[in-house]
Amino acid sequence: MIPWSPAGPPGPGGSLAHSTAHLMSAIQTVPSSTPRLSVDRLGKYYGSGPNRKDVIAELTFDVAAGEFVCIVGPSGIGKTTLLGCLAGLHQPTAGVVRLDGRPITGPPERMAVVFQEYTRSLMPWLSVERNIMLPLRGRLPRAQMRERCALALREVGLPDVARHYPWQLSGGMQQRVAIARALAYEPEVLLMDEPFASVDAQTRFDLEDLVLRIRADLGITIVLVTHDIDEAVYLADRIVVLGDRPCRALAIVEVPFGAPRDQVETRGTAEFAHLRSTVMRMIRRSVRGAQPQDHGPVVAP
Amino acid sequence: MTRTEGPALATVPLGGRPRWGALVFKASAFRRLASSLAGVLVALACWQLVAQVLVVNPNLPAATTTLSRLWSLAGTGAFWTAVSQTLATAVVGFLLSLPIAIPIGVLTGTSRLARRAFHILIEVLKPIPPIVILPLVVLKAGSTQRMAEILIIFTVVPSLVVIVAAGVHDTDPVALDTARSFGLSTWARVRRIVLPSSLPFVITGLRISITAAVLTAVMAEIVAGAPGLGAQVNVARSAGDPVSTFAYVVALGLLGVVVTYAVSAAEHRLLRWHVSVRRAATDPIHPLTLGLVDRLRQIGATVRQSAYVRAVARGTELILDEADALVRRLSAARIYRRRAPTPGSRLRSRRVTPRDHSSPARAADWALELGVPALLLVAWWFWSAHAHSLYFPPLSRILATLRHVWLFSHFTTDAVPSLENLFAGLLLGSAVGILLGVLMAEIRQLGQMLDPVMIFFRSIPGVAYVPIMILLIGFTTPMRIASIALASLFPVLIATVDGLRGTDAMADQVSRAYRLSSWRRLLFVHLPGASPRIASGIELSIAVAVVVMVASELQGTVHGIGAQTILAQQNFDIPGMWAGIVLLALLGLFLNLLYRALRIRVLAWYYRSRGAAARV
Repeated sequence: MIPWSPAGPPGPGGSLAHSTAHLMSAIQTVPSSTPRLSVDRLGKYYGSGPNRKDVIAELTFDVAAGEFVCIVGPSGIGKTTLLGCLAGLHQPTAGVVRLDGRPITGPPERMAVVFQEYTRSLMPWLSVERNIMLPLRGRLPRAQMRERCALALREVGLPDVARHYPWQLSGGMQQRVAIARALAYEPEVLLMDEPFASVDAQTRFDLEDLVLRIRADLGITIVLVTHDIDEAVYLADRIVVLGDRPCRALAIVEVPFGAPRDQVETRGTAEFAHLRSTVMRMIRRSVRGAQPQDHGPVVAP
Repeated sequence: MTRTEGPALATVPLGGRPRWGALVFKASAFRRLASSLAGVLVALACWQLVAQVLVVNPNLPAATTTLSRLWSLAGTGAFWTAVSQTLATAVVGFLLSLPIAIPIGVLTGTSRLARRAFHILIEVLKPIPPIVILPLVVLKAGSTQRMAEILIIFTVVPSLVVIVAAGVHDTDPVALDTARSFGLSTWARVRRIVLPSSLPFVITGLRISITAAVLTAVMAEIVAGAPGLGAQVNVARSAGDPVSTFAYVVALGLLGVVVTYAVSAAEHRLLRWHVSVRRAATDPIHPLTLGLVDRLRQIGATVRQSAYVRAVARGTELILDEADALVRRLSAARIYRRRAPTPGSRLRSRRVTPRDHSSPARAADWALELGVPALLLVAWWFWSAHAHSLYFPPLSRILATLRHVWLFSHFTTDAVPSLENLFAGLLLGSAVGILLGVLMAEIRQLGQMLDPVMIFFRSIPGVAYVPIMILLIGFTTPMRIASIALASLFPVLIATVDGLRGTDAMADQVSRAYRLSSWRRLLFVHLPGASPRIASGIELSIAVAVVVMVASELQGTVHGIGAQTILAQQNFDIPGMWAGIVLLALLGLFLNLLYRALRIRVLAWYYRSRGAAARV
């Protein structure tokens, strides 16, 4: 795939940017002073009394409009819970999440979610087209739904599968359909919960570039949760590194790479390696700290 | 696959109300009990209200009257004699079925040859409702417990054969390969691998069979007057005593609940270490309707890894080693030579002998599958032609009567009204069942409250609605339709509730994240997701509906397939009776095939997506 920027000359995706221009038209611009998404002293626990289990405590970070933020942390740290709070699916037990300054109390409009398990998040009884149209029903006339669905499918590179069923497609294609469903919803904010964790490595590279291109095309705000540090460094403008139990932000790391990124070039730079090891060191230190009894493998003399 | 995220989330106070630590679990158990109790009370209050205010029918007694009659009946010895007769009939019939069903099941599970030979036979026998042979059995054995036991055997054997065979067949081929590569003898493989892995299937099959045996016993008592609790319903009804009739029907429901719980508890004890059992224990509806095959798969998979089975296996290993050593010594002494496994034996594992897809082999399979039933028919034809038996007239005569009576003279007057009632009742019952199921599942509090009430209704055998409807409506067509509808309502209702409660948590999160309106969520996400389970419920309902259709025609009418069959029996028109039996059997079979074809079309996404998942 040839990297290109939205301002640059029409590359392979340039015509797509044109065709999806009206997808962007609905997106309002918010003054850059207020962050699009702000997480303020967020806390979440399950159970109560002695059974109470604190998952998140005192977590604070902002996401600016049009920014791509990756949330990275070891598995089981509460990343999915955090995403659930951002999406309005779970109610935080402390603190508040704000979208454009308004507190989120339920799933907000103009926010779409892509889940990790595409086999379960796409309904097996609906064709690809109907899966994509599902959130649009009752909001748009039928012809318009069709049109948006076709545009979204073209955007993710699957123009010919509208009449197929999800289970007739490969895993990577199914996740593309899930992304298309999110795009057809025309979100201002796109939340992705480990979206590439269940696809093979090659498909994963393709999907990562797809998401970068979508961001460049549509300028939407993306928050992506992952446990893969390389993926976070490759995709993000900023990385929120989670650690400790209950989980908090260990650091917020700026990623200085510009818009065109390339799987080979970008990942090959010294800066990439440096960022990667910085984040990894933070996470490993936090995991060790949480388990003081574990001192690594015992080596016989 | 529950809609809540997990046990922890269920207790998260969203509204910020304080909870009291460790008391939470006890409190929630107590609340559950209280809400169940409240549900029972509400149901009774509704009954009272309907009987005393809304429907002024002298034959509909109030709840209080009925319960106090039940209380006084329970003080009499006759009541408990009837209960023990019903239970004895069920147990004897069940025990007599075991030596027939288990060997056939093991045989068809292990040998491909036997499976082919029995396949069509079992598939044909399974959907035929046992009530069709009732006239014949009553003629031979009279209205006795023996008659009911024969009927139970006919009900239990085909389904038990299928379950046992599935258990034996489900043995992990990798485990068998491993055993073979270590040179285990056939006997050792059966003992160490096949038996342990099929044990949960067998236990579950036995549980289902006992429940089915009780239901069949009660059916035989109500319809044909075999001594027992069911017969008392009809005795009370014909004596013009509606209060006792209702009291006995309530007693039947309670008996069913007790039996279901007792048998489930026994199964839980035997398989208590198992995950699916532990999960089912928290949801009273769940164990009743969880897809049988899925459940057996789950259990089977865990059994193979469970510490309990491994401990038992280790114990038997020592004994088996001794036995093997003995066999080896004997064979070395040429006293005993171990035979090689027969070709086609299941024990040789699927991988070593992959299925032969060449056309001659296929043709042979088909010849076997069709040949065995055909051979049995031919044998019946010639045997009956020469037997001069009173009860088994020549098959040729039966077929001649069938053609003569049912294709021409009685088709419009008898077959058509029966079928009309059947379809009207089924449609009505299924529609109301789905509607109520949706209400109970979507309004959570209501659903949990009414769980025990639903289990009670489910335990009432379908034919018990016939005497009640006769009391309330009389011997009319609406009575028949209402009985069929009531009997087919509860399987669909329970399946709908279970299916909707099992909605995938992920599908629910997606519909919440994308802000689907609640009725779109129901229509596009919840109901389609529950539809496979609902379809199984309807399949059960069809089987019940055929039985109730026949039962509702046995009295007070001369029109209908059941009425004509029983009339022929009473007039000693044996070929006429047989013609009715064959027609009803064909009807049961045909409805089942039709429904399956329909279901495969409608739920194509389900079968094909599962197929796609299995291939990965």
